[in-house]
Amino acid sequence: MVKLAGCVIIIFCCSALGFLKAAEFEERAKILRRMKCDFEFFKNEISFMRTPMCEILKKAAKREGEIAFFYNNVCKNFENCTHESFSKLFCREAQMLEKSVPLTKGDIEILISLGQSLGKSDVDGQISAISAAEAAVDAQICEAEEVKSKNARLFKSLGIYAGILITIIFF
Amino acid sequence: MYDSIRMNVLSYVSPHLEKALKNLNFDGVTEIRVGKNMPLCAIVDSRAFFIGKKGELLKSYQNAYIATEEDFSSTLELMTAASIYAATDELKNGFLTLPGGFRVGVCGRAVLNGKKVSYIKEISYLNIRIAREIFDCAKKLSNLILADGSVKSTLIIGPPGSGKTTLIRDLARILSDDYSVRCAIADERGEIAAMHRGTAICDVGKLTCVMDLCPKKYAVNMLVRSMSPEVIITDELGDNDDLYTVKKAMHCGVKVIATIHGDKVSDAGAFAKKFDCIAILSRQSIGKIQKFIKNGDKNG
Repeated sequence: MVKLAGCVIIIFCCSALGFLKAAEFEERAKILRRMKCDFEFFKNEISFMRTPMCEILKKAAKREGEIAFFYNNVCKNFENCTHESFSKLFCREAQMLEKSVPLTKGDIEILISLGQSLGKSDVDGQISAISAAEAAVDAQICEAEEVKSKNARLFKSLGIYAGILITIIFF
Repeated sequence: MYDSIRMNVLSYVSPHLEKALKNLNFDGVTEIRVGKNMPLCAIVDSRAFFIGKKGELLKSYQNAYIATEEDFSSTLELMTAASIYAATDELKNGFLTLPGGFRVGVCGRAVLNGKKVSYIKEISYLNIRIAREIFDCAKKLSNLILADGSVKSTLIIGPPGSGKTTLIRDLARILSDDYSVRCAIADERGEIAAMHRGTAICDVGKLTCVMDLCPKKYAVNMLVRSMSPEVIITDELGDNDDLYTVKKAMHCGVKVIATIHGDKVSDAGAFAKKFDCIAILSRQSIGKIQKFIKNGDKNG
């Protein structure tokens, strides 16, 4: 009876690990899609409302996306008069994102290069910078979808099979 | 006053500039000039002084604080809230407005679109003008333009720094609060009322409404149509559009009180003929009227 319970627990845990890893691939694509929506929102706020950057980030944070906390941190730090430049703050917070969300270095790089030009030019300049970032995110979304379809099922199956294998070996 | 400067000026300059300026005695300071790689300078009672690292006023530039490129970019970023695009309309007119009505004149390389300036890039010089509210400085002028019992359209001519804006700000307050005149301010540059999030930071009177940061030709039109003012107050007339706008408002039965740069009647060109009264200011003290001329007596 104990052996049976142990087998079930091992299979369950390994499967859960596999499913969690698979979910990361799904989450990355989801975050990238959200990022694209946010960039579109930035463009609208800049071209039609001329909203200052911090206000835009605050509004974006209220939309409660997966990286809402990132927008929040950037504008909170900037408003707290740390005397660090906006682009430095944005890039620093973007680099820290890698620890908390399943984004790759390439994804973060898009945010960093956008951060270096945000707020530094006229409306046309801002729109082109954000459009370039959007195009880069589009490419990352395609790649993320590919990786997801290739690896998500693999990791789910791997989790289950690894659980079964361990059970067979040890029991 | 110092609190207002600390909150609205010092928190918008780089940490090094803030350090140099926080010990500066702001009594009599009308301008702070910051040039890229140039000594920091203050205009005190119409005289130029250099500012040392500890905020001391110096006659020579040798020990003055030199504003670095980093100071400059950081200051500009703070002044535009890291959003140059949001300030391009102001920048192409050569200034930025800080909360509290402090205007910052900007110098750099102009980018032209056709014949118009579309942007100023490579900004290399900032002139922070310390906005001051001087209560009752327009008392004498208000008595003059209300001598017949009704407000007269008045053009105020004065050189830069003579206190034109300070004067019309106080005039709006006096007309509104003391004479219950419905005033409307077309505040194209945001420095008369110093609106911040919909509230006038400067006291412009309880019966005064403000159209903020809107070109005069649109603002005056909208105010005449929608706010039924008795008097429209506006700053710095200049081009033919402004002349047409003033004429149009006067034809609607609204009195106009406006300012223009110059130091004699002929400097006001065609504007001078349109107003009932002309007041010429001197640089000697804020709002001091050098000459007051009524219509028909323009050689006065």
